[in-house]
Amino acid sequence: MKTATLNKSDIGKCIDLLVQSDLRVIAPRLQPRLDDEGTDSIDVLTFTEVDSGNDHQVGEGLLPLNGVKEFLFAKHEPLFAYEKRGKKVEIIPVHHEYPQTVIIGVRPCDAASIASLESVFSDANAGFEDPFFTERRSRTTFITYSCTAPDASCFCTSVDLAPDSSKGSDLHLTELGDGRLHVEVITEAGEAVAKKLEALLEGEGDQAAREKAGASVHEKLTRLRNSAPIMDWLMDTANFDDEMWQRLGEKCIGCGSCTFVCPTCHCFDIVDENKGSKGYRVKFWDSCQFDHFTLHASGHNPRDWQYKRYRNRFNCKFKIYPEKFETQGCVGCGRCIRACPVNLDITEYMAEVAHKAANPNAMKADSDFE
Amino acid sequence: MIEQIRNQARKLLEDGDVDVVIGYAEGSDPARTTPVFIRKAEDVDKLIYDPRCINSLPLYLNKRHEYTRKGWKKTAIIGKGCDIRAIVQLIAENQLKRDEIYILGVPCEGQVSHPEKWDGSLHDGNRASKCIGCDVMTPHETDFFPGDKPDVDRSNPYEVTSPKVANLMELELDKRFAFWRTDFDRCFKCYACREVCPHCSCNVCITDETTPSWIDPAAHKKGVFSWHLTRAMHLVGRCTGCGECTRACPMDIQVDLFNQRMKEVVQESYSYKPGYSLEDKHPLITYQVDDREDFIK
Amino acid sequence: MGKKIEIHDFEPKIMAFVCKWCTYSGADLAGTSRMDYSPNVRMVRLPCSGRIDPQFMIKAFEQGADGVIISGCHPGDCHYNEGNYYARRRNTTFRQLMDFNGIDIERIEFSWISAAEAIKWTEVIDAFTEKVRELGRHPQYNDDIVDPYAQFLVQKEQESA
Repeated sequence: MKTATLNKSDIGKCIDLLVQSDLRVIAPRLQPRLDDEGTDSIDVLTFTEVDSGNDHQVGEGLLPLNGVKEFLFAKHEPLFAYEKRGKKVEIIPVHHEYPQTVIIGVRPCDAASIASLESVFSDANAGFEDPFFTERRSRTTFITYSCTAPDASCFCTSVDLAPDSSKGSDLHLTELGDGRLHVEVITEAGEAVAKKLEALLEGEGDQAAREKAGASVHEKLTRLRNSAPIMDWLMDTANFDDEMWQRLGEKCIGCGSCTFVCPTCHCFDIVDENKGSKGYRVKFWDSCQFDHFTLHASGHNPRDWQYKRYRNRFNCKFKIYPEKFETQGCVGCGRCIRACPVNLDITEYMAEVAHKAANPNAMKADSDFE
Repeated sequence: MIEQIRNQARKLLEDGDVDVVIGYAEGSDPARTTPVFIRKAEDVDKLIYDPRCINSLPLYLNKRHEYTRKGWKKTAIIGKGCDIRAIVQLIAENQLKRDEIYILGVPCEGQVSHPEKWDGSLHDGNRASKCIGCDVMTPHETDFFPGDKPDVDRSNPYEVTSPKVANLMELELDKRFAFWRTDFDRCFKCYACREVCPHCSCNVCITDETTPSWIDPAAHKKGVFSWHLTRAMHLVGRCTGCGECTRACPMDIQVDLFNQRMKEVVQESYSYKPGYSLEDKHPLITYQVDDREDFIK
Repeated sequence: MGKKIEIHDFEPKIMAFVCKWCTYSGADLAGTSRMDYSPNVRMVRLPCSGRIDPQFMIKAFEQGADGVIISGCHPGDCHYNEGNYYARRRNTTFRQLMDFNGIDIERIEFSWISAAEAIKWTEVIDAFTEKVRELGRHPQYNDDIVDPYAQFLVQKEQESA
């Protein structure tokens, strides 16, 4: 694997070089503020398109709010247009732009989530490849950046990941602590990007220092959970009705924030947007936490209580993804914990399940729910 | 102070006067608190109260959140001033009956706006802007209050305390629209702002209506603008300023700026402050024969 | 009697939401009396001005209207006694909301026009149409809001051109 060194202060120049080679470059940026905003506003960091290296937060701040999901799986897009003329309906194809894209500054958790999305949208084994995803995926290169300062909500090490992991990466950067970055070329796409940045890369990198720097970050994570017993516990169908679901999920309000910020959540809805006799068929993000998500036309709703919807989410992340798609459903980024307005915490569920798995014969807690 | 609340909660549960006490408990991070539902007297020690308790609890009394299905006939709830205003507004709108609720009022000097800003104490650097100029720091409508309740003059008009509203009003129209366009770029229609609102209680929200589809669910500019304008309009005269919509937004968009501006408008035009009276109806469902009409041809 | 026909570059689209008892009848009277007025207005008849939901106005702008006019019975004369009072309150607040959002409230007109006031109807419509003509196409609601996916069809136009 080819390695090199890059100065951290040259990242702006890297972005400039990539922009100049006609690539669409996406980097973390702080949203501009409108004068004095009082105590209510905080720094808003999001991945957005940049056209120069002057204004970026690569390697600063922790996780952009939006993640990279929206650049592969669009928030909303038209599938086709249509026009009705009498009884005939004409389908008019729409033209999407899929520019060659480089996303720089992606953290390892977001990079690992790409494999999860791929397993849903581009698994040839499943017999269907979603061109809206695959066209974008094949034209996107990820330059990832190891974490140096995880916060209290991060828990990637509890789901078999690491703050310096290069899983899902094309070109991986790790801080060495002295202003330099160790660069690892992981894939051919990463090789192509490294070629464009040749002028700024030098030497062979420093593998030993990189490993030491990466390992030192592991200890900074304070949110640690044992995720090993979870899948088996969930596979036991008797646990589907465990009292824990209602007890922990009672405060969930079904806002859907967790699903929208989650890098692996991928549910979508399709509607026709009409204007007279013309319209578009549109695909856009949906959430299993909405109360009408499983509402049948008959009026029956199998997930009629909110705790059942959250139970489904937990199952999806920790059982359905690994079982059906052989990939991980949760990457430990912690966005759902930060976003939840009522502090519903997926790691509390993880701890509860691990506890129950370890004590299967303990007396069932007195349920509050008769 | 919290001990008195806990004792009262314990007494209410032991005597069977209430089915559940809704309050705050320690969250999963040192900087956060979480809503908790206490059904057994021995659990009341979980209840806490400090400047991290920014959650608005009355949203659990909103019928969309199934409180009647859970079998809560009488609920005790810990309320700071702004929360009690939401409860009073719900009662004024006939969403709740006064005797279904037992309000455990708590004095409040302000809340910390974001968990990242919590450093152990409340001070001017982390106090939420909604708390500045608050006149219900001693709550107005309670069933139990630890200590004496001094009389407070609440007749002063509502004042907008978010500097951003004033900043926006100073901009020209097209710059204002450009600001909203950029800000709403990150909205992806998760509807968290709707779910946390104590007053959003329609059984089928207008966004979920499909015949006709008033508000496009997709997150393009049309869908985003029509949602936020509709939400602002549906809350005119009803929003009690808890700021939860902005706090809940996963993309940190300050959606309650619309609501704050409309509160100012309602105050100027109709001298009405929502959430102070159990009987007064909000201005859009009442009228005066001599209402302002200087813009009418 | 007839007005001189003028050709303009830009013809604004005006939506009118009117109550059937007063304003619609007034407009009808203008028609039967053969009065000329700007033809840019498209009318939607509703039973009462109190029926007008802000949604209608938002949707009118979204569908490409350059101006919206709401009209009903004079206060005290509402066929249903009080509908126009509610409309007045609703509109007072809705205008401020639009203004805060950055939409020019000169594009929203509110008037009381009774069934006998055909002349007033023509005057209000003419004046409003001219005002909106001067303001021009609605800049905020024009491109990507009225048709969010128009740019996706561009390829087809280029192919067929």
